Amino acid sequence: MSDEMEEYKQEFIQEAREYLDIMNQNFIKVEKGDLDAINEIFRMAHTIKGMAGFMGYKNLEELCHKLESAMGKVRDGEIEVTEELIDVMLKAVDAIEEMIDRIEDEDNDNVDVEHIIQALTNLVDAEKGDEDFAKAEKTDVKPDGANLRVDVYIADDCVMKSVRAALVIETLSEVGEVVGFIPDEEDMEKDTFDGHFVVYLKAPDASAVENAISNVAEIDRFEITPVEADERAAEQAEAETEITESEIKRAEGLEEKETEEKAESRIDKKKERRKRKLESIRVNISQLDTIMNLVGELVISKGRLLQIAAEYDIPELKEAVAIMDKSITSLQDEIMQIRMVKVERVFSKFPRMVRDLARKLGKKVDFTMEGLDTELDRTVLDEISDPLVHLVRNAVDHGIETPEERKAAGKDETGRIKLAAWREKNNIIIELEDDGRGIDVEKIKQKAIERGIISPAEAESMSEDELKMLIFSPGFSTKDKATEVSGRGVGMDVVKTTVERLGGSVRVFSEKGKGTRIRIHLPPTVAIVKSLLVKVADETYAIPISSVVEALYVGEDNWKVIHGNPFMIVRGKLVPAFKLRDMFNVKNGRPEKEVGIIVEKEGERYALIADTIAEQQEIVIKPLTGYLAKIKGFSGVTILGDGRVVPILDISSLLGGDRLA
Amino acid sequence: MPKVLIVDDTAFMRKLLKNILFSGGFDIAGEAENGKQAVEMYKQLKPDIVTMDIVMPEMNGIEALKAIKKIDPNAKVVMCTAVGQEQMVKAAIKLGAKGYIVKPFQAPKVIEELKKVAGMS
Repeated sequence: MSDEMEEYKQEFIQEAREYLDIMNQNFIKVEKGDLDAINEIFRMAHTIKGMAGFMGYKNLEELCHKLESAMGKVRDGEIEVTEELIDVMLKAVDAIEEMIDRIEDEDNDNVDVEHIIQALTNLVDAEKGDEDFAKAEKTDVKPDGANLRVDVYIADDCVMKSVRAALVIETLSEVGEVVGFIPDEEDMEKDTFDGHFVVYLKAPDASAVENAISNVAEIDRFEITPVEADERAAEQAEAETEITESEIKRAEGLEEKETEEKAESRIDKKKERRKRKLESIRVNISQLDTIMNLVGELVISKGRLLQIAAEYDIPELKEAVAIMDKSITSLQDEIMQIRMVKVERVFSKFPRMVRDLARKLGKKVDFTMEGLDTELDRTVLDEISDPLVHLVRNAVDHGIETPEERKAAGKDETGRIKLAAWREKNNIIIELEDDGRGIDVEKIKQKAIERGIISPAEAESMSEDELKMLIFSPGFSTKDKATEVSGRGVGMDVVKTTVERLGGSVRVFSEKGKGTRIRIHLPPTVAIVKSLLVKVADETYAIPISSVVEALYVGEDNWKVIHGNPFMIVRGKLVPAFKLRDMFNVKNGRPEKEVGIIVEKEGERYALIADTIAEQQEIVIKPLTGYLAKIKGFSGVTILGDGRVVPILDISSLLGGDRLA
Repeated sequence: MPKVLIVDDTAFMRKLLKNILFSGGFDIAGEAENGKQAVEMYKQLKPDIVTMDIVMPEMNGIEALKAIKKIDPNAKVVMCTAVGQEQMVKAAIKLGAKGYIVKPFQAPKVIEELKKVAGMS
């Protein structure tokens, strides 16, 4: 493959994927009766088909063509929208996706889609038989009687292309009979009309036709081809294989379309590329990470300069650094902004997922989303993606009851699930709400005791909220029968750990029989975290503020050693204590007074004992790489203004050592 | 050199078109400021081409086009239009207008259009 083709291929793959996303989203709308969505899908299938044709992927082209035809029928009201129809179409979209994957990996589109094509063909042919292939192409043209085909390309810079086209058609009607034209008038008026159209003409004199068009301005070029050639070929075919008339028409249609599409797609591509170049560029996310890292370095260098300026008391340097500081801050903000992506990126796959799942489980679900424009740091969004999938699946599987159950409970047969995102002060909130069966606290209590997560005594002393949080414990599942979909006891705990690792928190609100609401608080970014800097002798450690509950001085009255294990007593509760001094083997210096930082990990509290709290500040996380990446207990390091490297404690791996090992 | 009748209700537009057409090698047969006047002048001046604004007082461009076509079925009328008037121009084309130019006018395009209509290229 030549370089140029390779470049086209990359673009083709990228664009096709974007279109697939849009298609997936629109199918859900079609099911809800939004007929605009049909046009959108029709256009997407058409575009992918055009690109595939240009790239020479025949299977893909055919599949898209079938899908497009079927969509055409739907649009024209010839076939009704049923769940079965959508199923077949979604399968087709999946197959297209598979082909695109294949094209990307192996440069071929050899995916077996025979059954899908058959199913689509059946749909297309169901109502009116084989007749009228052109109809699906949204043209009313039957070039019956036409002897000339005129391909007209309107100049790129022509304003009001549809009017120009009308002028050409009108002009042609003076030298012959216009039998038909593609695309139709309505389509020409759309923005997507690229200025290429075909007129079928019955005219005695081709040179008069040529003259007539020559006298119309803003025509890039035109081609006049006799139509009989095609017909003759078709007649020959008939003689050889005795196929029916309709099939000839069809073959003819295909052939014409192919050349047409190729030219069209080429022009489309050129235009799209030009447009995109103006609006944005695509940047590899790793480059952004590198830049972010470099900004981090800059921040550190700035800190050093500030220190030097203060030390030597150089006012000029101070001033210069202050100005530099401003630029660095703006630079940092700007890059953070670039890293922000809309939650739509992840949310957009849910409608399809919920639909498939609901169908499979025989449930009826009305799924809505809000706040798709809410922005999150790319890394946060990527990390939260899988946990969200899990939560949404859970809502459909465990949350929403079957229609019968709902009816019996006096609820609407269709369950509602709402996924919303919004910004609240410095947090991004993602909330998943369903009106399903809710969480049965009693059942949770039983299960938790059964599985040895809590003791019966503990269960009695726990509040309802605490009990609800148990669903996030490792190895917990309340659904009696694990389904294929969700509920093997893994997942919910992963949701919580992931969110907490990102510096966020999860809360559950639920009422039995009424529904469940799960609310996730997330920081908008992870690259910079607010941290508590603590000291142990000469060593400094950073603890992300998100995991810190409170800090207390250690004294006689709140320190207890039971069976050789130290505990802190916090408001009457025993909290296991860990001396950072011992954990990191710090030898020198014994402080007079120690401080206990109470942290929370998976709902449990622990006390980390340090000498003093130095300060609280925003730090830039620099991840540990290479060999260091394997070290447990640290989420990374940060560099302070004076150049010191400070490790950032990762509470969950630091304290969960034995379980993770 | 083809003679052009310029029809537009604003003096500014007439002047602008006049300058463009002069530079493109056209003669100006005359200027009319509404459709009614245009029809009268067409009869008198027998221009080769008419540039016809659409929205005008007294008689609009479409009506004037119809009237001129009635007088001379071979009349070459070019509609002056703006984005958003597509439907109106299409109607005019069906009534026999031979071309259209879009405001804001770009001299080369105006000249190309009129030359094509005049059969000069």
